[in-house]
Amino acid sequence: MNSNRQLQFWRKRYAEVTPLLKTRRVQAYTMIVLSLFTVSFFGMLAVRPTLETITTLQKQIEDRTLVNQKLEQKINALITAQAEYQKIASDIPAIYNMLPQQPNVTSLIIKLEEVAITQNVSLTNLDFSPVTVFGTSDVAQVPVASTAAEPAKDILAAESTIVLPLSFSVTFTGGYQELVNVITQLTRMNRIVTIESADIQSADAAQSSTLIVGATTNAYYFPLE
Amino acid sequence: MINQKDLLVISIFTFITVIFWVVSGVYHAIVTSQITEVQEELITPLNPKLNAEAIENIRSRSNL
Repeated sequence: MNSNRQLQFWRKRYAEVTPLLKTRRVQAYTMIVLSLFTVSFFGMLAVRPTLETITTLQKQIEDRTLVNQKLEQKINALITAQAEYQKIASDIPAIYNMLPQQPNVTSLIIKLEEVAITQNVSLTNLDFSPVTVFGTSDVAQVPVASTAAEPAKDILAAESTIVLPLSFSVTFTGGYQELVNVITQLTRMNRIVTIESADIQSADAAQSSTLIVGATTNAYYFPLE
Repeated sequence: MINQKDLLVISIFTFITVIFWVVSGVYHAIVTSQITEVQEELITPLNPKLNAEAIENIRSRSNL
């Protein structure tokens, strides 16, 4: 009985709807709405993931080609750097003398004494600012700007190229020409030393030929680690 | 009861939303770089040229 009722209900509904579906207006609306929903459905579930995958893969190809090119360039640069390094291999000890990795205060003192002995003057005073011999240093860092340090700037990454100053003041006593030679030789040593200031005065009023030169100077070191 | 016009409006907005979704997804895929941080570090350019003038200057210095 129940199924008969249902059957009749649906027949009635069908009889109501069938004429409606035959009108052009309803057919057009139904066609448009169903088309839009279908396109939206497949666009969401099929087209979007496919297009995204295609684009991502193309981008990957582009980026990896770029990385490959840059790595090729870097390999060539490394080969060139190796050849350049071989050319200056004999100069490496001189370069490390010029700009050591540690403050190397002792060797600097020996050099200063040698300068004094060579020029026949007396090294009467030597005063170093505090220096960290072991551990990390909180001394102000000097950005690389001098010509001598430029090769390191080229080879190493820019942020690692920092040179630390080692300040000291030195006093020499001797004749005028010898002291001039000392000052000249200080700036020509095989370790980079810059003179910030220098003053000259007579050692004694009676002995006017003996002079005292006091110089405030900086030596430098370049910790690689 | 939803009439035909409402259905049409809903379907149009759904369609537009899906189109925007597809376009934004594709745009995001184009814009996002596929190069990792490690690769970025590896491809940092390196200038192998040494300063010949500085090397000559070092060579010319005294042995002190």
